[in-house]
Amino acid sequence: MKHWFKLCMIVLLLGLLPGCYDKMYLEDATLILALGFDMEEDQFIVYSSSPVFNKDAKKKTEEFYDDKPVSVRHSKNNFDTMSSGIPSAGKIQTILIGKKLLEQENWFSMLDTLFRNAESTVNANVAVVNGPVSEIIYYQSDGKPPLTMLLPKLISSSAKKNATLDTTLQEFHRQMYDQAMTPALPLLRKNKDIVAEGAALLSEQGKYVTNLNLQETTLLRILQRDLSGIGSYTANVTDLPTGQPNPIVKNKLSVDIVKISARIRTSYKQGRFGFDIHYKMITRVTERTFPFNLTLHKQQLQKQLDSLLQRDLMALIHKIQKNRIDPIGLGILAQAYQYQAWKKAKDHWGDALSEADIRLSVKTEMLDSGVMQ
Amino acid sequence: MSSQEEQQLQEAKQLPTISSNLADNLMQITSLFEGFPDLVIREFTIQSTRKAAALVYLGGLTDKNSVNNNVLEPLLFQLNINPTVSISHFISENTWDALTAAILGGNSVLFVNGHTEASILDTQGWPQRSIEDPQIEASLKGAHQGFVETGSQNIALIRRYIPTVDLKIKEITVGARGNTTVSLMYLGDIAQPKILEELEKRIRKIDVDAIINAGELGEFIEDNPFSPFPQFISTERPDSAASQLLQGRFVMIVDGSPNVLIGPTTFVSFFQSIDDYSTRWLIASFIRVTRYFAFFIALFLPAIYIALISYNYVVIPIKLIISIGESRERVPFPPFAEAILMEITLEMLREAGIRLPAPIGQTVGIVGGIVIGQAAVQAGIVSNIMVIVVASTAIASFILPNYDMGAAVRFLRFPMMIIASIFGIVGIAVGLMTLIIHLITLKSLDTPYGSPLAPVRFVDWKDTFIRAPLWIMKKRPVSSVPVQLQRQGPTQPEENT
Repeated sequence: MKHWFKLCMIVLLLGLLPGCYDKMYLEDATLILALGFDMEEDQFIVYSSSPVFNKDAKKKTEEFYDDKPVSVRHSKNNFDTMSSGIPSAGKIQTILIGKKLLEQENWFSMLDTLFRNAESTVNANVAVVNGPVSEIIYYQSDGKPPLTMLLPKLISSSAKKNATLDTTLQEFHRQMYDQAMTPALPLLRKNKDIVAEGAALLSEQGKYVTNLNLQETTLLRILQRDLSGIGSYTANVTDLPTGQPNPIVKNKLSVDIVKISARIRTSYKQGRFGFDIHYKMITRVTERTFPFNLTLHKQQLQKQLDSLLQRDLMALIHKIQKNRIDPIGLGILAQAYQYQAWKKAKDHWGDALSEADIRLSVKTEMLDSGVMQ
Repeated sequence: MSSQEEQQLQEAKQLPTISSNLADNLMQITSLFEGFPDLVIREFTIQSTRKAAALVYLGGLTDKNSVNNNVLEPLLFQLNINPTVSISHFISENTWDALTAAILGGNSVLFVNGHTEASILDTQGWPQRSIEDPQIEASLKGAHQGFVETGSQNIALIRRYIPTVDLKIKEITVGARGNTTVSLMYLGDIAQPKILEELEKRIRKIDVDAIINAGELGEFIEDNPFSPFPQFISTERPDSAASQLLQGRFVMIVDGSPNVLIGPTTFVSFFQSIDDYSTRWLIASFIRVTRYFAFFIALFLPAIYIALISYNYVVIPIKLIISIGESRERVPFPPFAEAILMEITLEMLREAGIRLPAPIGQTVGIVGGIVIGQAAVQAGIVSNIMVIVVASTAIASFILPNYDMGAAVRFLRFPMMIIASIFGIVGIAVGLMTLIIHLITLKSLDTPYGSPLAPVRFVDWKDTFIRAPLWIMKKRPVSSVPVQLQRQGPTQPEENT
């Protein structure tokens, strides 16, 4: 009797569990691994790329596009009619956004379905394509892994070297909604192959503003105090007592920035925000194409490097100020330390930052000068 | 047979004790042992007293040498009975019941004309196996003696490890026809008397024809007969039996069975092996952790595979998902059918391997391995990943040192697979919870089966997930509820001086 009661209870409780309505075998699913959004001839287009589960298939991916989408969600249904399996958004690796789409007003709301459905992932990398998205989605190379695998690898490996950014969908969502900063996304382009070009900076509304090259992206990561691993920096050294200058490669000094620590003072005086930024960096010389006695004149070279870094960082800050954006996230500091002032300025933080008084100093320390010397 | 003789027989049968007339006694014996062609009745005259006597025994169960040299020879050629018969064990009995039992037990019975008591002479000597290496519980560093089918020898094997007067034995005869002797062995000053009482009560309650094996005894006295989990350790190793005795547990030796039962047990005691204590403690701990890990693999890996492929493939890393997808693509069955097919094949292979003699058993393993590993994948019946899953599950289930626990795990895998195929990861979570609830409700001889994990007994954790150095484990495990805990160091608390 007791046993039967127990058994009945177990069966009843099991009945309450979510059943098999969402059962879908892996091989029946069409995993959307890359999703692309673009404008072509004033037409919003959704692209997708999925792997083909077949050993004998020569082409390992299949691509779909929907050029008359009612909505992004709707185009998933349209993909269903085109693909052999059931499209599933759970494993999206990369979301590509065409630069043309970024020039439209209010395009961000189109991504709404990706945030709203529990099934779709927010860990996908978001990247901006400098050019038409179709070029990348349909890209195929015999010597390289299929695009769906290539893209995340390309982005994450170059982000590790700080040559580009590594922004997930969730991070992008935060950057969009945080009034204290503006979004920054990795920038891709197809030349002969797909290459990472640095970063694209967007405005508070998500519109495309400007882009950064590889070196500037590294500097942006330094300004964000978010250097992942080692950042490499190369500069022309001009005013040093050099012997015979190298005719092919100019007087180049390359260093790896191993470690940074920053101290930032925030202030608000006479209607202007002030940021006093002091960097301490530990560097390692990786290339020096001019003759120089490092053991004797280490201090001299360090000073030279200090001023070079300071010059380039300031240039980047000016570029940001000019464009009235804040990918660095200085607004977060203003919000934290000067809340009263920030409260008034928060709706037009970009403008407030452009007028801010930003001072920056760099102090580097050379850890070593390489293996040979 | 004349009616007079029949009447005589009838009368004789009614008598509970033997008569002084040898002829009557022998008639009674022959009628009692009708249909016993191996019954030997050796009639002779005792040299010293000139009395007629008869020696009765069963040919197959007695030691011929002992009968000839130690009984017949002195009786035939020497003067007195008692001091002359050179037999260690010598009892006089007058009831037929005792005498019959003695003859059936392999003793010889000596009837002497004019005496109202017969002598039971210990001349037991049935066919026996010599003591060999334990077969199922092989060990690297443990002893190479396993239990045999004779209870008294098994007791002797354990006694060799614990030669103390505290090692008590309670003999209980079980079975109306089998008359099997169950010897309950325990350390008198350590083992919990309440458990002894309970155990004895349960064994005395058994009312069956016969108990042939220790496993049968276990099934009659365990607390939860519906549970898949073993509630007694069944071992064929005297050294582990002795070590369990020292932990305050009880050992049940069933005469005729090469396995002994040990109780009360806990879930974690099935993960301990005698080798753990003779290996270096760091290595032993590592191996023990591996066993727990293997337990979960053996129980859940196929279920997890099914759940992931059917519902939750999103949690699989992208590179793995593509290679799984590629190998699943050719398989015509859903993941559940694929897994059940492979698991059942594996169980059949295992069972086939046991039943076949060793050389053929190996062939089955090889053939089965090739069929599963290669041909089935090439034929597109199962996927590569499934083969890996099944193989690792099989290896994991054989790591558990106790056969019964391994069997429970192999069995429970199937309900887990079913629930995973219906409810996915959620189902596995529910299955795991049900399992844990079941484990902590179980009892072994009224002591909690889940101890020391539930109820939490931190003292015992020294010998649970890891095997702490022996010199740290100063106390006996609390889970066996011993009366006396200290097993190292001073038994009495040191006096403050």
